[in-house]
Amino acid sequence: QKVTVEVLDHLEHLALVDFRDAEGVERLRKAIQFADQLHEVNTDGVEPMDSVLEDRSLYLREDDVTEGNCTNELLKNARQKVEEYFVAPPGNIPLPKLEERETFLQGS
Amino acid sequence: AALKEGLRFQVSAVLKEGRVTPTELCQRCLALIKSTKFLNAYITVAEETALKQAEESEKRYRRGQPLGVLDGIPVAVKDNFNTAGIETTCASNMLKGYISPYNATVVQKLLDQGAVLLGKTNLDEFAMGSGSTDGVFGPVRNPWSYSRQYKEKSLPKSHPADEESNWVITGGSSGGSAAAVSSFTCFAALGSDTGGSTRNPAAHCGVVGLKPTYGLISRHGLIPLVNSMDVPGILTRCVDDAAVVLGSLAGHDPKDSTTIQDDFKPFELPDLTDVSKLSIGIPKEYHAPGLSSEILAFWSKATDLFKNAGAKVIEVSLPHTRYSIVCYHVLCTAEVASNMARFDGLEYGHRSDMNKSTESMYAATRREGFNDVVRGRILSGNYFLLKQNYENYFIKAQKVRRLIANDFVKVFRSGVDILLTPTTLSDAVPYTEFIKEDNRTRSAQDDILTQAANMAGLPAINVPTGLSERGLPVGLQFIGQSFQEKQLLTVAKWFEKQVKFPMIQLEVKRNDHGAFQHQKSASFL
Repeated sequence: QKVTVEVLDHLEHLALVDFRDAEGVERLRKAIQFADQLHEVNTDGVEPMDSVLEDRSLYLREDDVTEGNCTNELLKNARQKVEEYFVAPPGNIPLPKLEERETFLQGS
Repeated sequence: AALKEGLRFQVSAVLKEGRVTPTELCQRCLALIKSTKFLNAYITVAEETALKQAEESEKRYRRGQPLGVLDGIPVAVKDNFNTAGIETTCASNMLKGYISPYNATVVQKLLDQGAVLLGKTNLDEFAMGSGSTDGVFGPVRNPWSYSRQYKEKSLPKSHPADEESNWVITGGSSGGSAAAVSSFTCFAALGSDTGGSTRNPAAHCGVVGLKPTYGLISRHGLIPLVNSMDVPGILTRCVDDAAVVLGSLAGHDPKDSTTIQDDFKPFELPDLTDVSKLSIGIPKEYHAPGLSSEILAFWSKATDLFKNAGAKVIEVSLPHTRYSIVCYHVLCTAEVASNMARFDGLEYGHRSDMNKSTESMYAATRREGFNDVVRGRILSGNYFLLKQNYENYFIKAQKVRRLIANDFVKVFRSGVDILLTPTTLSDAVPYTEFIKEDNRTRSAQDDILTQAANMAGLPAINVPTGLSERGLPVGLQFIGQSFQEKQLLTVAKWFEKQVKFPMIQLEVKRNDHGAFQHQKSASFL
């Protein structure tokens, strides 16, 4: 079984989203099962496709400042701010390990 | 009077002649929105700003200087497009209360043409879903649930209580927009289309739903789901109207580098009379498992229609069709995992009170802000993007995507002009039935016929075709070649003329100035 508790824990860390309950974990298992059908297709020699517009060049503009000065507008939507700063809780503190976290996975 | 159901062109003429003013039109639509509140099509109704816009429009008409055909025309916009000063929620707790500081390019373009923005329409949370049932503001009800046609066929001896539990879904995820257009509260609405989200509800609600070629219309300001597949979608009551709206929206946007730089010239649709030079392809794989016999019959009749009119109709094959949904599933969840990472509570949107660390605040914010569907896709996406899975899932899906896109290239190169397929597997199901299956299962089932066009970036359109045994709309889909919207819409218009889809006979309790009547014909004069 490739979906071990370690993998689930890892995913919760990466996604910063929780599985919440058995249903959440089952959802992932079903999603993987569904995706496995891809392996039926022979893709030897086929290049991956990033974009349907791959034959065109992307538009690039001149590196000139054409807009800005909208600090007030942008700050309006933030819940916690001080002067012109967005306020964040302390960083550099990793998410608690599985055993210490409030997560459904603890029981697994 | 009968304004509401009029074709937009005719409404424009009426506005120009001064027989109705933009303000009156706006007020009528706002009143209708109120009396159809039970449909839950709108999340936000921007009454004040709409009336102001209508007033400005009226001044222009009085001066004899309307900005164009869209001046004074009430429109609605799906709530995943940014609208300055108006709440944009994506039907999610994550963005409740979020007032955008800017207009999406397509919204700005509509406003620049004088359109009157009535409000933001309901959807599945973050456009993830095929029912418009999974948003935080509740499900959207299909206006046809309240039509005489549905009541006569499906609820002949029912009590009002039964009616309440028998309402059908709009399809999704742009269900609110489709319902708004279908119930006459606006003349056109914007949706988005990533896997069929504009065409699916268009089919269920009996309206025209256009998915333009990827790269034709700017995505700037459309809150992204899958950057490589998303497009703004157009919902209207007739193909001509879709062409007009397309004309005002298409074209290069310096703010969206994925829009092509070719010059776009708005066009009027010719009245096609001779289809003998047309080659219509019928992809056999679209005879998908689960396709209802009714829809099959409509599809058959449509091919006969083209044949009898002299067009060349040939069966073609798009061999990788059945992998499109799986491919979409992987690419979509992967891109979603990336796109949803921006919601961390710091700069906008919901923020949890959890304060111990940035990571735990982010986690709590996202735990509180996203529903199960969104969280599920983020987690799946992250799984497919893990180092050990990247090659086998994400890259693999990208390779399969090329195969799917190539299928279409081959078919069009062989001389086929347009493909004709069903849009959905069946007519709209009752809500109580729809929710028996989970979102992912439903999406996988319902997107089967629409998804491949997004994979390949091709333009596609749903044209309402007829009514099912239950009295509900059935639509058919035309898929065209890249950037050949004119050809696509011309054929769609011809088809629309042939099938003469019936007008909805909406039975709504009127609370007001007696404005609503049933109209039997499409013309409102």
